[in-house]
Amino acid sequence: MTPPSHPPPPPEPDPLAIALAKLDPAPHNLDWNVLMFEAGRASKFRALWFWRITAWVCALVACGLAYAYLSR
Amino acid sequence: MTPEQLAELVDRYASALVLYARQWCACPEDVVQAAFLKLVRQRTPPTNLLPWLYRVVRHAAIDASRAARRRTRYEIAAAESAPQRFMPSYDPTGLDAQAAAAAIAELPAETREIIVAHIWGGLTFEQIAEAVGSSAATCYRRYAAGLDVLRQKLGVDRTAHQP
Repeated sequence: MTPPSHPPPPPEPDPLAIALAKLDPAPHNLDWNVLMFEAGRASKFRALWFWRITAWVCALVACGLAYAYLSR
Repeated sequence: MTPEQLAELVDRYASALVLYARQWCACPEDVVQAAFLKLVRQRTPPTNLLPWLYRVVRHAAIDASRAARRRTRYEIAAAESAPQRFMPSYDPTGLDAQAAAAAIAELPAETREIIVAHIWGGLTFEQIAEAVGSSAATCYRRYAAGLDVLRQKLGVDRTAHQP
């Protein structure tokens, strides 16, 4: 009957790694307003292009109908 | 992704990502901002968000440094004299922030990025391996070797916390 195998204890954390982790990274200088504006624009990227293409198609159709009406 | 979710991600990870990107380029904030915008554009959020962010930041920072080298060496000099990487430490028993930053800057890039990602980014070695395209064992080996080099440079005893 084999004795139950216990998982090896996790290695002790390195003292240098602990000391380094106590140093705080310098605060980021991200421009919050620019980031949120660009993120909002990026999140609507596909919707914007859908409506732009729709607007162009409608404009072309309108031009074609206008040409057909004026040239009859 | 809602603005609140984005705000939470920025608050939690931006500082560490900027520190990570600063290894390669003089414009880490631009790179990190672009990474968050790329995340917003994803139709479905990545499964492993943190390694994905680090991978995107890494590629963008390396591309930015290559572009800067092609343009001029001025921005390389700016990166080397970049703003402080760490907040000043007022703990007399702790490490000197400037000395630690200088010692870390002297490490090879592949070692430095692993140390930064693990200690300040909180990534596991498996996540780091996924971000840098290596194996967890290789990442751990480089991490341990890098700590040994830092230990010599900073004069920290391996058994500092043992009685």
